[in-house]
Amino acid sequence: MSADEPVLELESMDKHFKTTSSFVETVKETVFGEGPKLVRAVDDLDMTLEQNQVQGVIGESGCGKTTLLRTVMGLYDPTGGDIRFQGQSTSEFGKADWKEFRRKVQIVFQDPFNSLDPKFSVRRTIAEPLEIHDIDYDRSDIEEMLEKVGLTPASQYIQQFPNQLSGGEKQRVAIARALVTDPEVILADEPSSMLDVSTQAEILNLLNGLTSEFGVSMIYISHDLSTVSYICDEINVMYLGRIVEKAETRELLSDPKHPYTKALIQSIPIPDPHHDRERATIGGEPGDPIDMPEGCRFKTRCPERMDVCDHTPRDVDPDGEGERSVACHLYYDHEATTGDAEEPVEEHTPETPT
Amino acid sequence: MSIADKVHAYRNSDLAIIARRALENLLEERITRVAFVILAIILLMGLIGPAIAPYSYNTQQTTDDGDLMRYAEPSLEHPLGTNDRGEDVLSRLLYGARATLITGLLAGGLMMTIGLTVGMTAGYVGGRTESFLMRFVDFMYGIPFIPFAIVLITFFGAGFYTTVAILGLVLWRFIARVIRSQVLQINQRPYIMAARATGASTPWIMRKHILPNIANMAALFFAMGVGLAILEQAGLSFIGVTDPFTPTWGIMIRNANQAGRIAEAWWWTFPPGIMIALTVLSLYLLGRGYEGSSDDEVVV
Repeated sequence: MSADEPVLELESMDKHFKTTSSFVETVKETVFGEGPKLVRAVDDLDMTLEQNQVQGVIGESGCGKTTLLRTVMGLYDPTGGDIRFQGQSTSEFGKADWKEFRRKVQIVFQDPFNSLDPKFSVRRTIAEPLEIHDIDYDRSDIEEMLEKVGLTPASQYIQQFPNQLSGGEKQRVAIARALVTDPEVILADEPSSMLDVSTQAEILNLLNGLTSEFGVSMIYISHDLSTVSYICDEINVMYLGRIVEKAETRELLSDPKHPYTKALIQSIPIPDPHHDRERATIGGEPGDPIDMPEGCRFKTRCPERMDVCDHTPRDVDPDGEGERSVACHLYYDHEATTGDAEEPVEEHTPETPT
Repeated sequence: MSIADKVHAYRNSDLAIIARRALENLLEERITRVAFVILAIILLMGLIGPAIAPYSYNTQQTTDDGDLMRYAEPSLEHPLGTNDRGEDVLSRLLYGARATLITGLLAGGLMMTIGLTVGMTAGYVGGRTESFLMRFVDFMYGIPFIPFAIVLITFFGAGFYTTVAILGLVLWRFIARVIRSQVLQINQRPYIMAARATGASTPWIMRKHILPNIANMAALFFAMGVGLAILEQAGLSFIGVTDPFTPTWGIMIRNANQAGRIAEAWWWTFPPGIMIALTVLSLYLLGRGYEGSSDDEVVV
């Protein structure tokens, strides 16, 4: 693998869930010729994870972040599109490829209280991936790993069980478990959201340090913009299954383009009661992912609502520098397409930045 | 090799720690401890009972004059008196402990084996297999036990082990249901997903994650299965469809009933009745203790 080849690429990846559950509904759908209603949890999503890069994904609860992660992990089959790991599509994976993939891509779950088997001691929890992949190890390897995630003295922790550990310690064990097989990619599913704030900072620092130490790339998803901006090189803002804006962390924070991103950044709490702040301009709740409106998914809450929003916006580069993209009608010239308003904008037309 | 040995030793200690902790949790409450001690005593009775019994269970006792000692009241010589045929009740009780426990443990073991296999397969495999297995369990639930047992015994003959087999082959149904629900529940836990994401195979997950996590529940339901088997065996004995020559506690009560002396010869009927009640009660108290010490609900 060449050094500049991306580790992981998602190309217009979809994950839809059928809502049909009962036999009667299935019959009804067949008789009336309707397709089953779909939950478009992840829709037409592109992402490229370079080596040693930390990509952040941020969005409200229910916007499809976790589905995205689980689909990448291969726990769900993608409905459409392509996932490429080190240049090879996962749809072409054989059994051996999958095993290799499982070794090289590790996941850290949101809830440390449930992601460790209560019947496994710390030693066995960390050794399990090694045993599954037939990698030789001995006790000192595991102690070394424990020390790296800051659980010292390791000899004291090694024989403990999850119920003897605090939330932060559990999450450290989960991180050690993820790193022990020397992976290429770590998928982190809000690893700090269940912890209190001081522990959150420690875990974030740890992840930050370890990803550079081990040379691991990471996809970090969260609903908390402050943690994402702390750890990520690039941020993807997700809204109802789609990425609405993607930019380098500092750029996104200082100069958000998409109305949704703006609202998100305005809503970061500032710990000063006298601070006079602009109120977030959006209200309401995220739409229903089953009966999605046509066009832009954010239009029902958008303060900048225009007629053209009934069409699906393209990803455009607002600055023309090729560094960031935003899916909003505000940032490109509609002359070319609005001439005929009846014709919906094709979703995959090549973009023409103004 | 030494590394493998070491690894093995650690795993053993892991297991030891888990087992010790489970027992400690269970024995937190006093009433559970009492039940535990009673069960230990009963188990001991079953082990060494026949050895310490003063007489053989079917020797007919005679007085010094050579008369048959029928319905003798408790005395120093016969602490629990004698029965209608002049047999020593205490000796029969001690011999009966072994027969009763063998019934309970064998039938319980059989129930556990079938129940665990069916429950785990249904819970983990899911789909059509699950539907088929669980409808079969429903069908088993539909069978009224005592009449069904009578029919089977008229077919196969009233042997001691026939009864054990019938108990085991019918009563596993509740274990299958509970184990299935446990497997379904544990299967949804994030640590199973974590193991799967690391590349663990299905047999690996079953063996290393699901089985250890339902082990407590399985052990408990084994205990309750033993209790149920003892109770049902006593019932079958009482209506006279088991081997009448093996002196289980149920048979002792039946004999007293047949002799029409249940009320008068209290020393004959009380001890086996109390023993059955104590055994079953203690086993169920163990279940209650488990329910108190964990968040799992024991539903029978």
